[in-house]
Amino acid sequence: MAKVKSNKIRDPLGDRLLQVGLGLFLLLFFIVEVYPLIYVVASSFSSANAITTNKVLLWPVEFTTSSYEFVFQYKQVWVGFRNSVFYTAAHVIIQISCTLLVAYPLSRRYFQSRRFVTFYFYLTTRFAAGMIPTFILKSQLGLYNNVWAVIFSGTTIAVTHMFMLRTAITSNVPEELFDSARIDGANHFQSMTTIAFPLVKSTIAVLCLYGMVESWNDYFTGMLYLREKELYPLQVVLRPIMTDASNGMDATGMDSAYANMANDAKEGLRYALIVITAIPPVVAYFILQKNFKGGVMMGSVKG
Amino acid sequence: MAKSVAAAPQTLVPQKGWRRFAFNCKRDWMLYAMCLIPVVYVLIFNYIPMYGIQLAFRDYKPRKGIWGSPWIGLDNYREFFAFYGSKNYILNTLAISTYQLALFPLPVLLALVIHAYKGKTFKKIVQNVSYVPHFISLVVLCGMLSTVLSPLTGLVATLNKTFGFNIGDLRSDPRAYRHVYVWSDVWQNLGWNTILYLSALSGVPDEVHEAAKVDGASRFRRIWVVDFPTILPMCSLMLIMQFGSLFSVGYQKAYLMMNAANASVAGMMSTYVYTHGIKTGEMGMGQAVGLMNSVLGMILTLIANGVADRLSDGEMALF
Repeated sequence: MAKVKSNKIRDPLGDRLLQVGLGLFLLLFFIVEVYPLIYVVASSFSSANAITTNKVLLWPVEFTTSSYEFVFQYKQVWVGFRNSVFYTAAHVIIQISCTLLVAYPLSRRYFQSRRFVTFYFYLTTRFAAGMIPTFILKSQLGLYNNVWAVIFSGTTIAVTHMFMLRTAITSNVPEELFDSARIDGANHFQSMTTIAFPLVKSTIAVLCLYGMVESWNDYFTGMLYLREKELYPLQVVLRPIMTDASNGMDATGMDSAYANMANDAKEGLRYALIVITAIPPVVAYFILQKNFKGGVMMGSVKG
Repeated sequence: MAKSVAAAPQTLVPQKGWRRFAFNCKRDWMLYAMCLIPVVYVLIFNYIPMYGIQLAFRDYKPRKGIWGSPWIGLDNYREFFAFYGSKNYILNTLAISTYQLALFPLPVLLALVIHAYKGKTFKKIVQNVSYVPHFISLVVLCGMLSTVLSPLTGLVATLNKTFGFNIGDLRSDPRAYRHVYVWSDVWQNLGWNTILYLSALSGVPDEVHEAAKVDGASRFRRIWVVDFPTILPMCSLMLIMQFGSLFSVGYQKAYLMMNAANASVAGMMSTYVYTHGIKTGEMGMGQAVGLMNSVLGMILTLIANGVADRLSDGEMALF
């Protein structure tokens, strides 16, 4: 036995070649995915001169933070940032509370109206009134050009999230746990908060992440319902700036501070704004990432 | 408290009718209370606006309200189809979504590659990096497109200079619009879309691979006979679902990418609802087009569901 160098079986040549091929494929995919990101970050740290003369390729050229300094002085952006943080927080809190409050009753088999409630929510994913009737109704209710118009948006109730969490509860929390809690005198609210939720924490975390990203990235609600610049979320502030270079025809909401800026500075500013706006959801993803694999899977098993 | 929720012995539970319902309500009143706020919210913001669907058949005058506006039958539709270029809105919608449908195999292929590749660390890095674009907002994505594709200052300019290419302004070229739209979407979501397939692939027991190995199957062969059949049901399901959503092109991105030069290919039925219905205030017209779009979409979804149902003997029906 001592003469055997290694008892590990080597893969056949074909398999090893296949691994090389797969590796190359992944490398190519990786480059395509990562390069635009690198380019944007590099540009945001480059001087306006380097950007306009096309010197930036992989790393910052003539390193400077002046683009970011521009952003820091740009009041409208910070107003938007503050508003976005507020809208996102409110949206996530309302959305996740509603999801939790519906998911638990739907996971109880003896809940007599379960089928009706399921259908009631499910129907809204199939038949929607559409943008215009909703717009008219919300305007009539006074939900126009104020904070509430954005908070009570069409995405506040996330029906798919409710069903995901319901499935996560039914397939991950043994019914015996609820029974024993009930025998110990726990009411529904107590067994929801102390039995059900702790066991599906990772699904809840994933749903929070979805809600956060969705709300942070939403520009359409703000564009549709807000006229007051002081109320604009960040994405609405950014829209005219971001589409300015190619567009120019739609200057609605264009900020005068930006319009008066030199063209060179605008380029750098745009890159810096892209980086700053993209950071919160990406960071949230990396923080909640460890919940991810379990969380998505838990709710995706059809039940 | 404990008494009210404790399950009563079976013999005391009324077996049918209102008495059973009343009994259950009394026992589970907390469950009903929990649902109450979301149910009311959905009633107000999803169900009540449905009465506004009739706007499609009215000449909406804001001062007269929905009920007071004159009933004009199908005039909104006649006006829409009489308008030069109305067909473009439908064709553009279908062109983009068919294009996306044709690229359907990409995430499947990528998932198979990722699953078959052995290098754990590299694989993990690639996956995590490919998820990042998914979290970038559409406004930022379109901002990236408009800066990167700029033939004066962007990456395109750099490429033109360094390699002597001659790429024009892809942002306003109507011929490039669909490619830019679809491939930027691929860039943003391809990695993310593999998650579902990868989680299905990770469910394959190792024994199946071992058995195939013992039988002399190469890794490539095992992709074909073990991995692929595993995700095939999911593939067909996703394909059918995508077919069902042919009419729901993301209007948010289409609107962001729209400019004066490419408006002829960028106008979709869903952007029409916003640009004509809300921006120029022809709400009746906008609603008419929106309704047409959602009815067509609904028909397709029903067909798709029916097909999914047939193919899977009811196991895979979506509802």
